[in-house]
Amino acid sequence: MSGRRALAGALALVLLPACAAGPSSSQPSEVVVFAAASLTGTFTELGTSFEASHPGVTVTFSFDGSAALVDQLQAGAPADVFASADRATMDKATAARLMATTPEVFTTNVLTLIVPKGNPAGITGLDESLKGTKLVACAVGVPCGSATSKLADALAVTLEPVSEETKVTDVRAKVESGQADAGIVYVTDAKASGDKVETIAIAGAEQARNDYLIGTTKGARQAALAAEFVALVKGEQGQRVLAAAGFGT
Amino acid sequence: MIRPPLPRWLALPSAVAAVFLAVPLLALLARVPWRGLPVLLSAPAAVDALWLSLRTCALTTLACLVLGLPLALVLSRGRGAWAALGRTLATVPMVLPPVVAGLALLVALGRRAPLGGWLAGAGVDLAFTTAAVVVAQTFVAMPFLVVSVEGALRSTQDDYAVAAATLGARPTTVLWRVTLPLVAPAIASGAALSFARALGEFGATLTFAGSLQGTTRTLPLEIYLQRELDTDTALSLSVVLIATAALLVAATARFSRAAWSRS
Amino acid sequence: MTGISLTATLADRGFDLALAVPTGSVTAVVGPNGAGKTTLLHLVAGLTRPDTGEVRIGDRLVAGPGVWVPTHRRRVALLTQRPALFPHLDALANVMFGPLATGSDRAAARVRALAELDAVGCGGLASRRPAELSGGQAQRVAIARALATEPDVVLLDEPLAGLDIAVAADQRHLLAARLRGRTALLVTHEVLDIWTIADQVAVVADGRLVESGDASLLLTRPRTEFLARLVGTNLVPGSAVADDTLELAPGVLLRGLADPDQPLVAGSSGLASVAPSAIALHLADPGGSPRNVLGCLVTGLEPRGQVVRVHLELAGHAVAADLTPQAVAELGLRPGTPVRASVKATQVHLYGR
Repeated sequence: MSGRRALAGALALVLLPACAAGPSSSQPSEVVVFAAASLTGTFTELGTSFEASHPGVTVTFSFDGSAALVDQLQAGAPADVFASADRATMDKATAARLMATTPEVFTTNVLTLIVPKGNPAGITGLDESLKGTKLVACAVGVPCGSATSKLADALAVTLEPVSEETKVTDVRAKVESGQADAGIVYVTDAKASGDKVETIAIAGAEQARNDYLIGTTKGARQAALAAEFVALVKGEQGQRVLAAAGFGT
Repeated sequence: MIRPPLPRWLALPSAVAAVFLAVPLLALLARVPWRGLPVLLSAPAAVDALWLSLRTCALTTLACLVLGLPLALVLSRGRGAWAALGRTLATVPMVLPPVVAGLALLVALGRRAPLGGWLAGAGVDLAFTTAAVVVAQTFVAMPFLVVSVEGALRSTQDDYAVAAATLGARPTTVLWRVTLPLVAPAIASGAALSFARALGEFGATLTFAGSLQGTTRTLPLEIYLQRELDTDTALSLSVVLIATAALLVAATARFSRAAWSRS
Repeated sequence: MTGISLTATLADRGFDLALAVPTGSVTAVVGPNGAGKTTLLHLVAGLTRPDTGEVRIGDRLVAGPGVWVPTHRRRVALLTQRPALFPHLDALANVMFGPLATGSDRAAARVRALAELDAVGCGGLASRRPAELSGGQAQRVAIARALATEPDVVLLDEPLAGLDIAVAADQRHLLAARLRGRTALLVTHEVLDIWTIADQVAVVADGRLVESGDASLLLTRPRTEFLARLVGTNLVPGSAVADDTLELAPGVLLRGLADPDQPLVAGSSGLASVAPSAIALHLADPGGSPRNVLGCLVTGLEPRGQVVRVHLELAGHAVAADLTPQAVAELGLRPGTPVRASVKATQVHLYGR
């Protein structure tokens, strides 16, 4: 009989952490942050810093497309903080009464052109040099896609991409691998790709700037800690980390 | 004759299994905006995606038949290590995660790849074309046809082919008039499965072919995009996929039963 | 012109056989299981390649050094236990298959097929699917299908084995009629097949030809143990000491009636054929008219329906006697019992080798 108990006990020990893994459980000090995919690198760094300054607290992230995150929040997924990649998506969240306080802009992002190393198609900018080349951009409707469309209109340029991706990381991947001749991504993505691509700044990119907003959610279980995280992001350290990654102020 | 009954406790796990499979589908169907369905499905993007999917899947199924049948026939006669290797090769795309399949295609046929570069030089540029979609779909769907037909061929008695030969039929005649008709149900169900797999193909297409309305944005890719934009549209398109899948599965089951009744 | 001429070896099967089948005759091929009978058929049909040797059909060389004619060009029909009718075609389409595959136009093939179906008595089954035919009907359609191609040679591998006795009887006569005048090889275990259908017999054992010749001749005067057992008679060899006496062993004489067509020649070897039912067993010398009374030893008892087959050892040879169970019981026969076997001379068939 004791053998069976031991087995049951062992099973429980093994399964318990698995049960506790997702954001769906709420252990005493866990902060759940939903953030747009483009914030992955920066927020992970800030999360580690937060954990260091708050012993006993773990920060759990869920990075995804902003709209998908809103869907999940609406479906009842527990999160304490939400950071979106554009105003439109945050407005949707606010309209759905998901946010506790009025969300605030904490950083911005602009678009830039990236080309594979060596610039095989000889792109010079968001201009005639793109004609007939394999340009890849985000699909209209996702934050970076809407920004691209807005920028093209503002600069009076017609873009003819051969592929309109749902995630900006897919655009990056195609340029990095050389499949595409050029791609329109965020400045932060260009920076993250590093040496694998060459960046060509777009004159007038400021005209289609994405505002990133952050706020604490209504259903936050760790309201106090959530607010502190938001403060970290908006504070000096957060802004430094964001700037280093290429985000604007 | 009365069969000895199954143990009664099987009812519980089988009920759990049935519920486990049914609930997500039912939940999805419950969430679908049935009233708005016709409007949502007639949006240009949706129509383009549906039409593109149908076109590419039909071409893919054809490609699977043209390439997969010879392979299945050869493998069914094979014995020894080479045959085992061939069979493994034919089945691997079936268990590969689609994204890995896409990566493999990219590395082989992408611009920077030796074969892809050569093709590009010859004027055949696969990237971001509808052809690339068909290539990706065929890669993941062919194993289903090969496995289905090869299994049926192996279990067909030799005497039919022998009888046909003694009656004076050349090997090609034996193939068209005896061997293939005998496994026709397996070919049909294999083709249906290939079509279904091609229809649901996502990872490889996304990685290898890209996503552009009307050219490469098939139904699953459209759903992927709509997930970010409009959940209702995503759900409506999902219903189309589920309905098509259900139809194909029913057709496959009917063909399998036809096969049994014949033997 | 010979119908089939074969000399072939297959080393890994221990097969080394030379056989000539006259044109237009049916040769029954008999022998123990695994003897190589099916291998023989496969060599003629082109389903097996010989290691060495040649196979000729008519005057065509179909297998030999540097020559290989594939099955579909040999004009050889093969009928086995399984009719192997194509399940996806009806009976008529099945029979039309051969003519169509060899270049006939549809109309001619149809006419031919209907004629063949009629010849086997299945004219009314033309539109039936194989699944709707009984075993006997399917076998008939298979025969029609095979003959519709006008083959040079017909090969049959125990075609009646899967049928029940009444059906087999009808089929046997049908085959006899349809094969008359054709060159054919018929592998069989049934003596009745040989009597009804075959003109010649070939006995194959251990991959070699042991005996061959005219069927009726070999069945009435078998020269090998196997054939004798097939026919159902005892066969004992010996050396002829007179034209009606065979010496089985020193001092052991068997008297009988000599065969007028194949008489004993004094001094040379001969054979005696005795039916098991003709042997009576006694525990002591019986006296009376039987001219043959020989000492034997019981080696085994085998119940066979209404009789018991008593296996005996006679002068170093195995013979069998059929007795009623009551007789066996009354005599108290057991393996090892010494008995006196008596046979009337009129029931001993003697002939020279």
